[in-house]
Amino acid sequence: MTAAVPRIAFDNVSVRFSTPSGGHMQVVDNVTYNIHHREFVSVIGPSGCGKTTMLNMVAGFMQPSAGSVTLDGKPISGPGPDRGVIFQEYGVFPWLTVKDNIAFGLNLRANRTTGAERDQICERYLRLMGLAEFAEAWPRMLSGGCASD
Amino acid sequence: MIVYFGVDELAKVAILFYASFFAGVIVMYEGISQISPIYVRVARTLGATDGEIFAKVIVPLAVPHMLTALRQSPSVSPGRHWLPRAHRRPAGSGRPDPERAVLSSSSISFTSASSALAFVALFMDLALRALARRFVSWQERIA
Repeated sequence: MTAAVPRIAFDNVSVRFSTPSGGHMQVVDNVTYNIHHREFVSVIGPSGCGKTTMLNMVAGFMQPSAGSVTLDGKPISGPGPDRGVIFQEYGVFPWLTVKDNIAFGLNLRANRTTGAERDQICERYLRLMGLAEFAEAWPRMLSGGCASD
Repeated sequence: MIVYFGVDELAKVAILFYASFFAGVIVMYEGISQISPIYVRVARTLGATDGEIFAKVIVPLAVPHMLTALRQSPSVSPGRHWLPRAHRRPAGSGRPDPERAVLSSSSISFTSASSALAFVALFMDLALRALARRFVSWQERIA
């Protein structure tokens, strides 16, 4: 019996950053870890231990200095709609209304939908988040909690 | 400028363009360079291409800076162009100046020319403010 292929695999991953003084800082040091289908994983550690760096590599925002990070056996070369990311900072677009923020991804070439379908999806998520009455509001009008929803 | 464009209208337009264009470019460059990379990251995560990021993220975020540049440029250009003409070189120095004759004959003084300019600038500023209210109402402002 063969072992299941991990969905996400860190293989001897190391990340080093250059410091302003000309030196180097080792943020991730030789990490090997596999995450399988339907596994729920929490990465816990003190500030600066490389949690965000590891997630950034999975999201495709950065590449490891050594080793490889793969998704379904293929090296991650960049961000993509196949991986959802919830950012630490508010990632809502301030120039779009709440509804248009939800529709942003649906208007892109990668996952374009019809107008009716888009409206349906937006309404569904607005209701789900309890933001239906704020559909046409600017993000600056929302509370911090609502904006992060 | 004089070597390339001479001393006529083309040179004036070129100098005005030079004066206002680069002032605007600097304002826009500074504004765009301060755009938070988080928006680009969010768009990339959702599958946006480079073209879509430019059109749907960079351009909307650049609009406030474009409007600032637009508000700044008219204040630079008409002032540089017209104010010196209202009290230009004395008669008899250099070649005859038809605009001087017009200015003298119609009794346009430095004060009235400045006032006219101020009104034009005020009108342009009000128009651009109205545009800003229309296009960047999403921005949070203190006042």
